[in-house]
Amino acid sequence: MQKIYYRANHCDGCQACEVACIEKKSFTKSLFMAKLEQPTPKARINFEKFDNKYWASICQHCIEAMCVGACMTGAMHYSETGEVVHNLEQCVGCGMCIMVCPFGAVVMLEDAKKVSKCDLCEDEKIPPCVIACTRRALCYCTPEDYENEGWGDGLAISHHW
Amino acid sequence: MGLYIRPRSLGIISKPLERDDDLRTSICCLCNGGCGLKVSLDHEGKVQAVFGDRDNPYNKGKICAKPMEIVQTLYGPYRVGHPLRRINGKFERITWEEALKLIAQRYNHYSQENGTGSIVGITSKIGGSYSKLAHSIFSKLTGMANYGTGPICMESELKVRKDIFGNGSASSPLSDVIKSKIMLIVGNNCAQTKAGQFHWISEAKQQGTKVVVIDTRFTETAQMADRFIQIRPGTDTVLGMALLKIIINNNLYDQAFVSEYTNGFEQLAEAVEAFTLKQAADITGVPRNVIEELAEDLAVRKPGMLFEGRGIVCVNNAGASIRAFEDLMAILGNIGKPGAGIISHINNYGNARDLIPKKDVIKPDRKRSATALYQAMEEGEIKMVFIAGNPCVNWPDSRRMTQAIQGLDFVVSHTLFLDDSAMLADIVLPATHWLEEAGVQASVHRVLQWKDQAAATYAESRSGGDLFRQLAKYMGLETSYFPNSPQKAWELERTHNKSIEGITVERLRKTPGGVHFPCPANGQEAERLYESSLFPTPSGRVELARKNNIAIEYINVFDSPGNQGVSPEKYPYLLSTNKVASHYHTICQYSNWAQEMEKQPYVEMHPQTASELGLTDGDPVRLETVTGSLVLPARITFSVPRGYFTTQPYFGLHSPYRQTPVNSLFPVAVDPVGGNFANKNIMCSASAEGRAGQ
Amino acid sequence: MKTKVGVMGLRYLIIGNSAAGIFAAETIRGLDSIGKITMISKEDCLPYSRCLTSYFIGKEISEEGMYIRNKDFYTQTGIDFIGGNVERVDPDSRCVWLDNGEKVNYDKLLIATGASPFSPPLEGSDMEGVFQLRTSADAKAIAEFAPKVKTAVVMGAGLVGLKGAHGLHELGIKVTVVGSAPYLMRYSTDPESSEVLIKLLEKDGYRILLNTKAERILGEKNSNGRMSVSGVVLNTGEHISCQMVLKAIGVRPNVQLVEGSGVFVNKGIVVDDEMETYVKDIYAAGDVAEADDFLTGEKSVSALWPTATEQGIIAGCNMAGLKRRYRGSLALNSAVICGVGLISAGIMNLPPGEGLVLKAVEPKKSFYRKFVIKDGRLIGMIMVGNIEGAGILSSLIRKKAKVDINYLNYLLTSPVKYHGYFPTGEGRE
Ligand SMILES: Cc1cc2nc3c(=O)[nH]c(=O)nc-3n(C[C@H](O)[C@H](O)[C@H](O)COP(=O)(O)OP(=O)(O)OC[C@H]3O[C@@H](n4cnc5c(N)ncnc54)[C@H](O)[C@@H]3O)c2cc1C
Ligand code: SF4
Ligand code: SF4
Ligand code: SF4
Repeated sequence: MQKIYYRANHCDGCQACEVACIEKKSFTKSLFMAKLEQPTPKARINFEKFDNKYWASICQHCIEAMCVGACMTGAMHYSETGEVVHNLEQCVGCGMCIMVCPFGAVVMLEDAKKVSKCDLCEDEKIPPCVIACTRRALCYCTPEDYENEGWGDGLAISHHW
Repeated sequence: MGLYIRPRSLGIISKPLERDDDLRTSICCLCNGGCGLKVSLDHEGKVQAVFGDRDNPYNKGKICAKPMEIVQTLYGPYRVGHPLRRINGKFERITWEEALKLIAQRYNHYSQENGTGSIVGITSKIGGSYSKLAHSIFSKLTGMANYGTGPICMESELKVRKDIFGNGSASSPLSDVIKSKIMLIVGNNCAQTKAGQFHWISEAKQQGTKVVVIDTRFTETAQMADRFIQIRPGTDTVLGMALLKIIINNNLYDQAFVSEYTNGFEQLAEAVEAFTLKQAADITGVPRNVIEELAEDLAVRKPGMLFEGRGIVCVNNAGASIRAFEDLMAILGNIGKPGAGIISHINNYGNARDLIPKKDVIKPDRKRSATALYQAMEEGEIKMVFIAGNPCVNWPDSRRMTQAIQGLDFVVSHTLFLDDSAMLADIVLPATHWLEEAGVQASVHRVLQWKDQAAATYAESRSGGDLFRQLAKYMGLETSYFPNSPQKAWELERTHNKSIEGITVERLRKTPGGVHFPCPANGQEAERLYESSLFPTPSGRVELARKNNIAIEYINVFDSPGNQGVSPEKYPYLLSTNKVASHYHTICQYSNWAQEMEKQPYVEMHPQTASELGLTDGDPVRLETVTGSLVLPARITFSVPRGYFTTQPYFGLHSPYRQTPVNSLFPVAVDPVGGNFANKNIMCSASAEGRAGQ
Repeated sequence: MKTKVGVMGLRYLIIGNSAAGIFAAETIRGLDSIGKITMISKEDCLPYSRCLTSYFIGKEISEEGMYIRNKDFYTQTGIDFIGGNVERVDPDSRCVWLDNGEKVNYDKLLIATGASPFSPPLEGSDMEGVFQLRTSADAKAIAEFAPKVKTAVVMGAGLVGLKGAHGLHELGIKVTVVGSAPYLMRYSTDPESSEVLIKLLEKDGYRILLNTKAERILGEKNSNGRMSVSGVVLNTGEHISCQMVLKAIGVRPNVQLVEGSGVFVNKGIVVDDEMETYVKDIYAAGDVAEADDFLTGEKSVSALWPTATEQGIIAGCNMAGLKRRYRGSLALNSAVICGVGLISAGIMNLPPGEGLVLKAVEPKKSFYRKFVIKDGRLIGMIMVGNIEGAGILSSLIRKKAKVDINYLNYLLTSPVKYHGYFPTGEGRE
């Protein structure tokens, strides 16, 4: 399974990832129309500047996902390959997943009364946010690749329960 | 990530050099913007620099990079200084007399043997008012059919507007934008393409005019707009129809104007029912609320103006979009009032009438559409062309055009540079640059401005005005019809054209910024058209519907000419060309500055498209259409939509850029309503071009 | 990926097919692919979420929408499902007895029998039109009866009461909520946030009566000769006429089946941090279990869905031989009331004088935030309005790390976003 890793030391705070995600998740598929759409599409990647440092938080497709445990409808679940998948149809927007996700990765779609989160844009070869990141602060790879490239701190592949 | 703007080229204010001994005034003749220039000359009378003229009330000293670049092209290695004749595949210098004699002899020969229709002119760059008049006299005397800028630039716009209002020209000066409450800019990157005059729009915006830009790309113009609407390629018609629909259904139009001055409102109202607003939103990719908001803005903010650009004119379904937006202006009553109307770089002041007695006028014995021209050349029906322009780069299916020209018996090119088309000529004639020719130049402000000859004529170059008169002499035609100087030409023209009769050279010289037209004999200039609500259509009214009573018919871009029957599986993307500020057709390629600003052509694409193709910034990508393929470096930017490619159209093989013309990828296809060639939205495929070692 | 730690192929028996039971079963299956898993539930249906019953009543979802697993769940997971009521657990012979006399053996037993509505004796409770809400059957009964109802009284202003009230309100029924506590959802709010919610509810047409109790349900004979609800008399003397009463006063763990088995029951079945009861190989999880509380460390019953699933997972691991410790239950709640989100976590109300409380209110926007801090650590929070990022704060509570007060002050009004670390105020973590 591939997922998106964020490397703060590469990030220059351009927020292109957010923008790309908004574009992808918009109805018009236009970056420029997205902000005028109603409802306004929301980025599934959350960019934050705090203390002069940048951080983009995104669903980590946790090995043991809090959101899956908390979801009272079964909308959040694991896919065969291990991604944490959200089934929009089942979701009732109760916010239990928002309540527990330690990364703040779940966003509320107020108008639809449902939530959403990064689905890794499975219909794309490479997720838009990753492409948008010219600084390679976002890596789309398997945990093994991530560690083998020497980017991580060993945590990505230690399956600690 | 990518680029949104090219800030270097936005309306630069330039300061003339201090203590310049010889500073001359001129008017830029490139984009029909009509910017006032100051030209600084060296002791030999050569141009050493070009600046904006701060005393010109229209550009107020601002110009774009293009006229500045001219300095480098005027005396550069590509400039033709002497007549040349191709002998055994090589150019050899000959004298003007030899050249003219030869041309005259061949001309007469083909005309007699094969008919007047066997000789055509491809004459998109003929020169100033003097040359244009001489050219038209020459054509009348010989029956030469000409293909000008129309089909490659503004045919559709001209035709549709003429259908609607009776006149294809702009109805209002750009300077009126200051008085308008809303300015709708559609498919027009005027911040780049009219950069010297763009400050009018910026100023208007500061004063509260709402600037709305509708474009497929996030252009420099879009960047300064109050509202940018990104629309899916080729769907402008639907947006225009949706706006009409809202305005009509909610009675937001100018009912008095519609009932008194228009025809065809019912047909229009019927036609716009073709789509629901939801469908319109789905097709155009513009959210419904945005369409509604714009309609409301247009209804409330009056007067309002429209400025269309090549983005909706040079497309394969242009006619319908232009009609939709211009009908929109009409039913809102935004016509013939200060701050209302349509801005365009089409500023025809009409043709001189009855210059030549009927007995001497020869009509071409054959009429061909622009598309039929190719075949006529290929099949040997045409023997000779007179080229003033660069069709081998600027016309669609350039490869085919090149081959067709190559196959002709005799080709003459009157040109500044040895460009791709001149390289095929049997006779190359050196042309004067517009700085070397006096004359009248029109501007987006609907003014005519006079410019004196600013620089000494380069080497042996001659203007079209002189060329045609002299050629006529060698051909044994009546030469007394031809004026022999720019001043005389203008005086002749104005006395034969009611709409400019009151505009004397003297008056032009005295009036900074020039004189508005029409300006009849009484000297009363009209700043804008239709102020009296008289429309020169046959009915005297604005024709909201087409003659066939179908007001507007949207053609899906994938089913439009050029794309019809093309496999969407094989050619899933769309290809367009778009202009940049530092280039103008062929001419600026020879400038180092332009080369610095636009190092090489590139193809802009959305990051996601690039990813689909496995490309990163700068990677070579092969673009292929039904007519050809081409490799260009990729430039990745969010400013274009996904699945859409755009590149710059200028470059030729015989220029410092050494590029296969990108127009070779565009099929010979015209907009069925307006008759423009399409140089946008043609279906293409793309793939990463393997590099050595991969 | 997952390595087997214990012995494979045991007989696992799980009583209860809801949150705790399902997650336990799935966990066991993940760790022991050959073990025999049997599940017994007196609700003979696919696993569903009882939290969704109110949505079903309000017709926001269909009956299928209540199911949390698809119809092939049991076969796909390899679970033998038995529909039946377990009457007795017999640890000595490692079996349980069903009320039909059937016996089921086990090697490892999980009791995930949840809870049942608690209903104190109240005059008139046996009449037609008096309901409680716990199971899908309850929900269906309410839905069936609802068309006859114009006004309803919901007894209990807790989460279940409010959700039930919402369901009825969605049907156009005029609802009065009667609560004995001084504020709404007292386990997951504080007076201020309760105030915000009351305003919202009242604006939407609910009637909210707090510090009030129902004393008596009034009835009248209906067409088929049975007594049917006609009103409620409150302790204030007020008489509210209504056609339906929904009792949502509280729940009590379903512990009857372990009586006499030696399994220790306090309020619920007491478990250790491996979710094992005092009897070896018998585990308990979910609403029925009394486990450690995360913040106080004391044993308590937490009747919440996420707690049940987490306990189920831990129990499942330990049953399948992978030792994992339960970190303790953290009170967490999320509700969307009249379109406004409310999330609370941990300890929301401290005795006066204890700890530090940060608050931000914007009544117009229905925005309220409160952080409860003790010893420099975040121990509780309430978010009303913009709830995004709440998980970051709940995990901050879980981390028990010292946090910079200024940082919390900043979070009080800004969107809560994750940024890789939490400032402690004592230099970087
Ligand atoms: C209307 C409503 C709304 C709620 N909303 C929320 C909410 O928003 N957030 C939240 O966190 N929680 C909420 N809850 C609480 C939540 O539903 C419970 O915490 C959760 O269901 C507990 O799961 P469990 O597996 O422990 O037990 P239960 O869900 O109670 O399941 C117990 C299972 O055991 C079976 N069983 C019981 N006794 C026996 C027996 N003797 N023999 C055989 N089988 C037996 C039952 O049939 C049932 O299937 C709500 C509850 C209700 C009723
Ligand atoms: S939403 Fe949050 S908890 Fe769920 S998998 Fe993603 S990061 Fe983990
Ligand atoms: S909001 Fe949707 S996904 Fe999240 S817990 Fe509720 S039902 Fe599940
Ligand atoms: S993978 Fe897709 S959904 Fe996830 S953050 Fe990136 S763009 Fe958004």
